[in-house]
Amino acid sequence: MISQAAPAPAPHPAQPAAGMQRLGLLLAFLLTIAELPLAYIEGSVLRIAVLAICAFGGWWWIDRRGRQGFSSRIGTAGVLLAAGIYFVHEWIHSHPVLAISHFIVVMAALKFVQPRAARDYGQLIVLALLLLVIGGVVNETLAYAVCLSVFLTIGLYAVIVLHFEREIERVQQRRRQAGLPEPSMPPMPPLPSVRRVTALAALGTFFVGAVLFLVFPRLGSGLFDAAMPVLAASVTGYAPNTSFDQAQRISESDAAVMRVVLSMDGEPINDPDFVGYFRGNTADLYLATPRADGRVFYQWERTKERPAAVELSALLESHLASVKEPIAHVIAQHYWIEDLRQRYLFAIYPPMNIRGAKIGHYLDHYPSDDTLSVRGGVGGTLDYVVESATPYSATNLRLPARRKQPEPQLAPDSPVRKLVERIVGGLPKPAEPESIASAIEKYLSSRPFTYTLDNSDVNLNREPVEELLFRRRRGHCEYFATAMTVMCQLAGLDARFVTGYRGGVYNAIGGYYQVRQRDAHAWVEVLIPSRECWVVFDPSPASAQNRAVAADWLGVLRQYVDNLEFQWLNFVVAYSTQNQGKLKERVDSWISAANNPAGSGFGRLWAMFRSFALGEGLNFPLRIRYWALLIALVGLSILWLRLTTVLVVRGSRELREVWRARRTARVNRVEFYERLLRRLAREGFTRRAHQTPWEFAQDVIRARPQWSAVGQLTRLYYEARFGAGELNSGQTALIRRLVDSLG
Amino acid sequence: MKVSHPKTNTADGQHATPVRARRRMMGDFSFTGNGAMFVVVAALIGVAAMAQQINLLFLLFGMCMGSLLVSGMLSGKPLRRVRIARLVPEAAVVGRPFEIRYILSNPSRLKRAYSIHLRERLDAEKIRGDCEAFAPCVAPQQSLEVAAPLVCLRRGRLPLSEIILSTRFPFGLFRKSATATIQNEMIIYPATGRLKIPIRQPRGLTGAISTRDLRAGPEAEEFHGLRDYARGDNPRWIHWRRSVRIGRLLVREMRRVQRPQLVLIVDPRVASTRPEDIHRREQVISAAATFCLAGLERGLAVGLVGLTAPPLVIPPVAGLEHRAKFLRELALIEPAEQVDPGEIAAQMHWPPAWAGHCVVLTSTEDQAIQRVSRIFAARCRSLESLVAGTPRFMQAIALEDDAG
Repeated sequence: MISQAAPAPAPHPAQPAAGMQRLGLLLAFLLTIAELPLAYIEGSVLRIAVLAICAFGGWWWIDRRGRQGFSSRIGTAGVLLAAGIYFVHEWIHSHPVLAISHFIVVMAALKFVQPRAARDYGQLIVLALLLLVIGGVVNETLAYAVCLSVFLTIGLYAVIVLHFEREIERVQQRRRQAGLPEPSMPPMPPLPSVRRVTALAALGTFFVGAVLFLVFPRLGSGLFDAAMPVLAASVTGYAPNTSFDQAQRISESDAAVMRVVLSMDGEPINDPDFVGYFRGNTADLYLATPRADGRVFYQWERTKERPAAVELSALLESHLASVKEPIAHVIAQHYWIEDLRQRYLFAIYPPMNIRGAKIGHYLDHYPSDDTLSVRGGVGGTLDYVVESATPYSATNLRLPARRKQPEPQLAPDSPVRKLVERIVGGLPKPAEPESIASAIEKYLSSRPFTYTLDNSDVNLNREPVEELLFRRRRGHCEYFATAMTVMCQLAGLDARFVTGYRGGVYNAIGGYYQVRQRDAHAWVEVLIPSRECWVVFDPSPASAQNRAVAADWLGVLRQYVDNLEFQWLNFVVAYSTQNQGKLKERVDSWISAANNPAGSGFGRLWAMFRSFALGEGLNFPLRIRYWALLIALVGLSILWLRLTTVLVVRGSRELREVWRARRTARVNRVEFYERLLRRLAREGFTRRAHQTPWEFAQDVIRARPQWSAVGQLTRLYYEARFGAGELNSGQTALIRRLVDSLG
Repeated sequence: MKVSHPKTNTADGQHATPVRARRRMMGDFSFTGNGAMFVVVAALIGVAAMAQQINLLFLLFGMCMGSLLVSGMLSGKPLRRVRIARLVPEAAVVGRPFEIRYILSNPSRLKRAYSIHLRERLDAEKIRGDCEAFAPCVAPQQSLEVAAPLVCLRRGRLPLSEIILSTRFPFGLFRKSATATIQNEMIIYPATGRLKIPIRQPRGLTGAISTRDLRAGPEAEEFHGLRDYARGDNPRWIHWRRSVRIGRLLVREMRRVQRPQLVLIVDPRVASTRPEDIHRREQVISAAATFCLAGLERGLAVGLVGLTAPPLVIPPVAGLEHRAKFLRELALIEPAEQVDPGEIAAQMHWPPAWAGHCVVLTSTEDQAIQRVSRIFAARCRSLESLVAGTPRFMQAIALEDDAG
């Protein structure tokens, strides 16, 4: 008469719910994914390994095996101690942002080996999100995009699963606290439907996120840019300062440093053989510097000069004012530099104009050599556009007043001087500066001089130019450029040593030049008074510079991946106020086209639609009827669509049922029992001939009480083997679960 | 557990009628703790993005805002979609768990309703814990039955009116709720215990010796003897064989056999409104319920007199089918204000047939109750007085001391 529910037995703590198992695995995966951008940027495989081992090990140990985990006190103490030491250490030795990420990683790793409730899983999700935030600060590569998209899907799925688990746990906990019985919970939603909801949520989140990303106002430069140090991230082969104090073998890397889109007078340059000299810094002083140990090493330095702080637009104006004749051609270069580790900006000589959102309103300009540098640090990816005059056609730029260059610091009896005299002496008198420079270039780039990156046999006690010219006769670009600059200066020419990048590989898919670490280069600029300009000379012999792209599928794939990364950098990482302006202009043009029927195809289409919808040309009574008919038609169409959707969904549901029934029929056989026997045989339990399955199961359970699942499986075996009907899907799922629970 | 249509009976056969909810969307919307934390984190990401102009942080900020928006859009839909019916048992007992069942129906053809949390709006003093249930998922055009266990702490009426449906789906950031109003009522019976003493049964059964006639009630009669026929006797009761043998008319004389009676006099007054006094009063009610059930189970005719205004009187009846009636009356019994129980007892009509064993149950032993005892001692064959909280009371009855 009176409803009395018997209290349900409380779940054993050593039996984690299947949902929690799944969640634990998801979170292990999620944290590893969130850590990847940081590990990538720091090149730390160890940390990702530690985190992955803790995460997956913790999942296996606690979620799957149902162990208790370390005591929470030990865990807390471990977190505080390890995180404290790590934090202090990293704060001193590393960047604070990265130190915070280390702290989070330690916390997450320890959290995984501690006993957990649904709340702890929530905390792990938050930790993973924070790791992703830090990853967004320090890593802007395509790897981050991949991690973000994986996080978006798996993370949302984990959150939804966690939501269900947490709700159930919350209700059960409250009932337990109140001493109420716990009736069995209704079944969890089927996994496919959870996946569908996740996909819907992820799509919605992505869509809204993308829209907000596009329209959110940008300031141009950060509020605290000057206060934030630049993070050292990707490796480049470029060094603005050159010195010859190390004897080592230089390894080449194909890592992309920057991407450049080139156009001449508005027309894109799509020539794979085009070689651009993207200069960074120049130096004109070849100095011998004594070391503390008494030895002397040689290095390049630029003449001390106070850079002029110029406004971006002013740079162009000053140049244009100095132009004697109209510029023949202008090369526009759009650079995307993944991480500018130094402050010099690259540009083809001579730069005429520069603009970029991150650069700020002012930059430093060295008038003597038109070197450009940014003020303060520029974190992350930098993109800017430079317009340069073509150096050999637009040469009529008035040169700034030159100081007399000091002589290179060579010994008075240096054989280099005699060599220069010999080369210049061999030229017809009077020798033109251009012919002298060409002769030196020709001398250096021909036999017996060869190009090599192996400098391990360099004698550091000897002057590098002498070492190249008279002993080794091989070296890399810095040696050859140094030799030529020194020789030109000895011959009385104005010459300077230039560092930067040369060439790059043309990516036909994206229409840009990919400049790699191996494209770092050094060359020479010599002032030719007759042409009133500095002319580029490249004395390096034909090097091993590999500009060819492998034609095999791997090469094509690399091009595609690189293009993808370029698009990511272009449209996401380097998205700026200019892009917003362009987007707005495009939307405005669509709107104006829509309002102008004769303007475009879109406008005509819109006008047609408007005329159709409003019933233009009809008088009022007819228009009313027309609208009524239109509304009815639209209603019917919606109804038809709705019905079709219902039919399609129902049909697919029935199809799924049929498929599931077939699948169930396949699984309903008794293979599971044979698998069980094989599994038990591995553990030393073999069914004897006289034993019935049930007797055998009893023996096993007696020996291993924790394997009570064997009894249930045996009963299901009887049902499958001797029962009249097939096993249903629930029983099949139970079989799978029980077999899995045996490990 | 899926059912194709709402059931009209609960699992234990208790009748209940499903009522279609009249829902009113209150627009109740609030952030959860996690949601507030998420908003703070998202705001910090936004500030960091603005401060540093890092596009990836803008993207992440957009995603966070997107998930908030999606969460807001998805969370309210299940509540708008679902219909609810409540299945309640007619009664329950104080301190014993029982279930209220809910049938959630999803009329949508395509969409599932996820993560619906139900909670009855009840007086917290009357129940232990919360009356709540959780439905993870209701498939399209399906119904789902969920159970909410409940323990009531006080006897009496338990009005059920508002069911609060809420959801935190999908990410647990918001809590959206709606209120469904379905009027139901339950009677919560007093807690019962176990009698430690036998019920005293007075010797010598009261029986009116009379010739059996149609006016005889349902009570059993047995043969008592023969007597001479008198004018007016029913000829059907003439004992012809003996009359022939003796030579004069004799009629059968029957004796009405009365069941042993147990009359319970319940005094629901309390000395004060202190909790211990209230507790003692509830002990009295529970003791009365225990006596009732025990008496009915042992075949006694049990009567109940409540010293309330107007007085509660149930004449002595036998049979287990009367159990619910007694429990219901005891569940609803309330003390009369400023009424002298002695006066009530004195004015009460007391048929001579109600002369069995009488038990006076009270929580206060004052002059009024002594007067009541004297009055009923004169009317009944024997009288026993039990005062809650006294050792005698404890020796007589063991209560499940769950009543508040």
